[in-house]
Amino acid sequence: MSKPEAPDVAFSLLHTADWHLGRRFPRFPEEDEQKLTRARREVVTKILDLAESRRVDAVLCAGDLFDEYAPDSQWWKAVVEDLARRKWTRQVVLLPGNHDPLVSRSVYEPSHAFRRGLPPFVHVVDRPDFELELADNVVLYAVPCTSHAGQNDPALQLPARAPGDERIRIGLVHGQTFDIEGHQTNFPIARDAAQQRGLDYLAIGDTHGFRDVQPDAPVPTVYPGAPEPATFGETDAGHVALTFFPRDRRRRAIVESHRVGTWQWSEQTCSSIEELRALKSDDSLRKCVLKLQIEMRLPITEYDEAGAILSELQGSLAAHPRVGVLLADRTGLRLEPPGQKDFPDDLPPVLKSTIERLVAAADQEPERAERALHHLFQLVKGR
Amino acid sequence: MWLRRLVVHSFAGIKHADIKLDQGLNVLYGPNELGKSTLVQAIRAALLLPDSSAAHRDLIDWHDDQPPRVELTVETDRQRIYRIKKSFGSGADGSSLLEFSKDGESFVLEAKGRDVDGQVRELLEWGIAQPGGGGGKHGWPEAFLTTALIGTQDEVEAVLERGLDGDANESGKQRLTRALQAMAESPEFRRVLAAAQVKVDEAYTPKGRRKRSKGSPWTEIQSRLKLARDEQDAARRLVNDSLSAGAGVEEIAETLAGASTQQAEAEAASQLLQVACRQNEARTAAARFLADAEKTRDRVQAYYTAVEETGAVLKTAEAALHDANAATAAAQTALDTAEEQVTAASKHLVKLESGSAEQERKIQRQEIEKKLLAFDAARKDGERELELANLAAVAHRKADELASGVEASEKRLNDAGDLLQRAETQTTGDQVALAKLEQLELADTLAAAIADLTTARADTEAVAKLRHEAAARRQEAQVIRSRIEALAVPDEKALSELGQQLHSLQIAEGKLQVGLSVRIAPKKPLDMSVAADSAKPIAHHLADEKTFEAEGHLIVDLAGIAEVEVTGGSAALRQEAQEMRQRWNHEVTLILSAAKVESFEQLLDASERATKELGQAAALDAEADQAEARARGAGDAETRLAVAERSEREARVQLDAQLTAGDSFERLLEEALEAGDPEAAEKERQALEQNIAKRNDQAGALRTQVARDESTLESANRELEAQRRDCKAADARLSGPFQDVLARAQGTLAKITSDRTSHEAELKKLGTSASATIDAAREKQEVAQTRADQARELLEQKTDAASKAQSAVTRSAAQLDERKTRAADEDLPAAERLVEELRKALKKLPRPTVDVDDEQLAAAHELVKRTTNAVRDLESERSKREGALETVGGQYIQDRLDRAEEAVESISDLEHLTEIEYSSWQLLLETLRIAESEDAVHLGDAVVRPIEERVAALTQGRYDTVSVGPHLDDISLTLAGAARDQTSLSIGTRDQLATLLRLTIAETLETAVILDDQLVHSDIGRMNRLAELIYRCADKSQILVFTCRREEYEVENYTAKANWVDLRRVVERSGADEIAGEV
Repeated sequence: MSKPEAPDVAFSLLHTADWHLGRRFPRFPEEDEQKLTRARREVVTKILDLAESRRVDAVLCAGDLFDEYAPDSQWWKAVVEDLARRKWTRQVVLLPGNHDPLVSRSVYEPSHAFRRGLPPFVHVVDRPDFELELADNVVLYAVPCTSHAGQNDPALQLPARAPGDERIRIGLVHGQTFDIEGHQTNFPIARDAAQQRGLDYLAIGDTHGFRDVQPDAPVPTVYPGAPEPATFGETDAGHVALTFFPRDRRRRAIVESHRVGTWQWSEQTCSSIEELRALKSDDSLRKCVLKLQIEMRLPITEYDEAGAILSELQGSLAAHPRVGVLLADRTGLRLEPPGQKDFPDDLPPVLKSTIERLVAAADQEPERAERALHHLFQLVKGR
Repeated sequence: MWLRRLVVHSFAGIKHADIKLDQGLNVLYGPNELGKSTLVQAIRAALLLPDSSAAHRDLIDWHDDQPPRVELTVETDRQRIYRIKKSFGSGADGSSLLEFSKDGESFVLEAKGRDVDGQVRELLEWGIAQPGGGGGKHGWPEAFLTTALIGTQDEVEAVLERGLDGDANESGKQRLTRALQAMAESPEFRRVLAAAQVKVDEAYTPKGRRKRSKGSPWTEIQSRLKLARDEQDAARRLVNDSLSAGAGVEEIAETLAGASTQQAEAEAASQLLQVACRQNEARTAAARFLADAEKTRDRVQAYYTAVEETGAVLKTAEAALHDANAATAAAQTALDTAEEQVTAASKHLVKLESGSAEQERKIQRQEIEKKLLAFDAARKDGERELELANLAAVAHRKADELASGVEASEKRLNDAGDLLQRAETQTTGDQVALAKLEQLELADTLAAAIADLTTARADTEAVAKLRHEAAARRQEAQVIRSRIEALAVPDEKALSELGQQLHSLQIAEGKLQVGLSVRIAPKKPLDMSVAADSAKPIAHHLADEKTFEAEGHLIVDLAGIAEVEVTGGSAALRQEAQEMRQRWNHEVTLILSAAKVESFEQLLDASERATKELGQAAALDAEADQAEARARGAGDAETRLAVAERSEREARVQLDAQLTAGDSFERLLEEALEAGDPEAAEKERQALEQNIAKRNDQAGALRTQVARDESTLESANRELEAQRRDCKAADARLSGPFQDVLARAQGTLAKITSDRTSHEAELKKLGTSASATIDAAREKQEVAQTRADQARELLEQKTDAASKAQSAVTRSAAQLDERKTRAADEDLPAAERLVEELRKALKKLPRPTVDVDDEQLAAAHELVKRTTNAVRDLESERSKREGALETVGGQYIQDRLDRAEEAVESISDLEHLTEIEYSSWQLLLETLRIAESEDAVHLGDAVVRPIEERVAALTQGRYDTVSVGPHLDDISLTLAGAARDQTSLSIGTRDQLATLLRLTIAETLETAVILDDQLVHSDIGRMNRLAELIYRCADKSQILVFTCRREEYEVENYTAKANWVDLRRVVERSGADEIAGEV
């Protein structure tokens, strides 16, 4: 389906969700964690800039803007500042999700400094019968999450189309359109909820990958996904949805996925020193969060080289890392049992004796002994 | 290690001394008897002697009864400064403290009491056994390094005689081995060793524990891991809560499904019974209706039959009456005629017999004329009767018209009444609905009150449970305390006193352990056994002299000759020890017996267990406090419950007041729950109130109309009544029903006219006189008279018959009127149709499939009610649990747990890698040391080179080589190619050799060494060279020289390097006056 030209577009919007501002990444060292949390804040600016450059008529944020309902002030202040500096007339709608539900002491409470700091063009969905006229003949209905979990379908709480209502009707909710065993409480959304409620577009949030739930359905139900991935294995994360409503009301709304994320999260296993060497020259890894599993057994010289490559990928105080954020599991990096031949011939007897003892110890505790041999190798190799 | 400061109080002959020392050479000089050796002894006591050792008696100030005290500050490594404080004596006089500092200014307590000596010996690594092990001479622990580094003045050469293999443990040997081997190692090995050590030091303490200080690789990992685990625990708790809540929802859902099934079954069963019951009731009612209808129909039928029969009787009576009247009239007529004929015949006869014919004719004429007049009068009467009958007919017609008007009015009135009744019925319905709404509102209030009550009861139960738990904990704690009390374990104070007593006993017995030595020199081979202290006797066959040693008790059994028992200590001390032992045995036996233990150690264990259990009791009390606090935290649940109960009761009373027959709380509560929307209920209420008002208005208008119609009807009835009275009056003026009278009058008038015409014709015939006719006239008179008599008799008979017939007609007519009136109110066809319809309806009604009685029906109702309540309660519970689940559960918390677990896993992996990394360095270091140790076990070879060089320098090459045994024993010199055992050397040379060995060891260990006036046998030349050597050795070690000959250490170019301490300035002697003159 082709994208309609501007004159054919009755209304356009930017649909985003799952910013998860304030999310911590405790599995990473502090420096790496800062990179990732900083990227989450920066992507908000990118999203708002995109809305401006694409001149969309409205911006819908479908929940989980914050990772918790009362995040640290640095997170909501950044959002307020970014919104407040824009002199917009386009309306922005913020929806509380299951991570940041509309509960007592949440940022969405009217008395909260976040709410008070928002400019007038920003609306918070703070009641179940929320209705907002986005433009002439374009109306938005939305239902907020008021708890971390719920069993009722928020989309089916939206009002149905009344006979004779010819307006473009957009729904905005947060939940899941698929069943996960044991998670029946996660705001289930019927796949045909948009049709049941006579909507022209159902904007939803929760899943972190971009997804048009039923591309063949006459009405799009869309997850834009998280603009920055939050963990490994999130397919198609890092996007927002740009949605265009044709003037010809018989046509389905056009949904365009637009990448805004900085980081790619990927997992890789290296089984040979060659594969590991290849990573050194892969420039794409600089903006990558790489979970690297090393599975190889090497002679001591290559073992030494593998260690050096990993250090190079990881970076140091003196050198930038070749991988943006590296999570290397080197428990699978093993040393082929070395012998005296792998060491210089003219070592003092006591060191030769040490090598023999460590080789013997490798039978009992291979990991320690291999590493000890490697340390010894490093200490004597360049003498 | 080097010594920084020494402070002594009341120590042997020194009242007070305070000496600050430097690294390098310290020359402490002063005259004899100033206390130089005492200061050395003070250092040794600080480092070696337990505060309660019996040897302390040698340290007691001769002029003071204060316990001897010493304070020694040492630095083992950079910024690792320890201060040892000891006060020597028995009981409370003895004490030890070990303090630590990084700056030498502020100290923190590291250990006290017995632990001090243990830690000091670990720090020194001098091969001294831990406290409690074997002691040395006179209680002073001995080892090779104590002899080498802080040996006393009188054991200068002991270092040459003693090797490391005589040490109590291996620590001294290991330390020296490490140091000496390092000297002998290749530079590359040392580099590797140092690098490994650096890496190990990054992560581990000298004792091999993980470093916790800032900069340690573990610190950040542990910190991150702790945070991640805390988060994991918190998230797991929430997930567990969520799972528990989810399980609770599922559980309640299952229970609810079962309860719903039971409810449905109960309802179905109840429905079945109700249907059967209704069918029964319907059939019974229909049968009753049919019977009633049949009765009605029979009754109506009887009315109709009676009317018909009465009509027939009346008709018969009327016919009889008519015949009787006709017969009467005919008889009357016949009588009249006969009488007239008699009269006429008589008159005619009279006239014929007495008068003229003319007169007779005239009389006849007059008679006929009289009859004509009579006919005229009768005609007038008939006409009047006809007029009266006509008037009555008019009155009846008018009455009929008025009755029709009344009937129409009544119909209108009935219609208005029906409308009014309908309006009132509808209003009543609306009022019932309104009342129902009010009931539902009250039921809603009651439902809310019941919900509050349920919550309050749950809270109360929770509070009661907490209180119960608290009481149980307290009881448990009390049980523990009672059990502990029953154990009769002495309290801590008593136990401490016992400990003190035992300690004193041990000290008293320790005083007897002075060290015994018995030398037996047999004149001839001798069999004997020796038992040292409490050991078993050991048999000996003694041919040569042998010395036997013991701590305090020695029994030598000279077989067949004598038994020699040697005990240590004075008689007083033995007496003291024995008394203390007796006292101990006496006192402690009772306590041990009470506590049911056999030894003081067991008593201590029991006390420890008791303390532990009391701790548990305290913990239980704390738990009880917590439970009570939580109960208190739950607020006044009972008050809330009472309020909730009162609210529920009031709501129930209010609702009860509104209950009508057939209503029940349960049904109303259920309806209130189903009603749901209060706004809709309010709207419904308003609509009902509007309808009621509107219908009241309509009813008012209808009532006005009905009143008006009733008034009109009343006046119409009054008018009708008056008209009927008129009719009755008109009828009363008539001789019978106006129709009959009218018909009779008309008949009479016609007959009169006819008779009059005949009489007028007869009058015309009169003309002829008739004497002849007199006879005929007489005969005629007689015949006429006979006929008249017969006619009269007949008339009487007919009149009587007519009267009877009239009575019968009147009676029958009245009866007919009554029956007609009654029958007119009934509708026989309708009654028959109704009977037929009811019969068909009864036939159509189904027969019940089951037999049911009231008891069964009530039981079914009760079951439905119970199951419905159960379902409602379960639904309410499910809502609550779902609410709880929504608050805590969902993907949100699972995500959080997943992240936390990933973090824990990731950081644990990092910790594992770090552990592998550093422990591999540790392994490398250990392996290096093992290899080093096993490759260089001959310590003598390691130390011989510097000693050889120094001996050569000292003796100016007199000796060729020096030989030192593998354990630093068996030192010998080679002179002119011949080995010279050290015992064969001069005292001075041995003294010098020992000093060089000690200096070399101190230099190797980079530690302090004390030289206490040791070189008194050296000549001036060697002394000068030795002094220079001492200065050189002081570059790597601390040397404390105590001397009374200061000048021997004043070596050109070196003097300034030494720290010179004039002991006269820093030492205050006890009884100073006695030696003042010597200075």
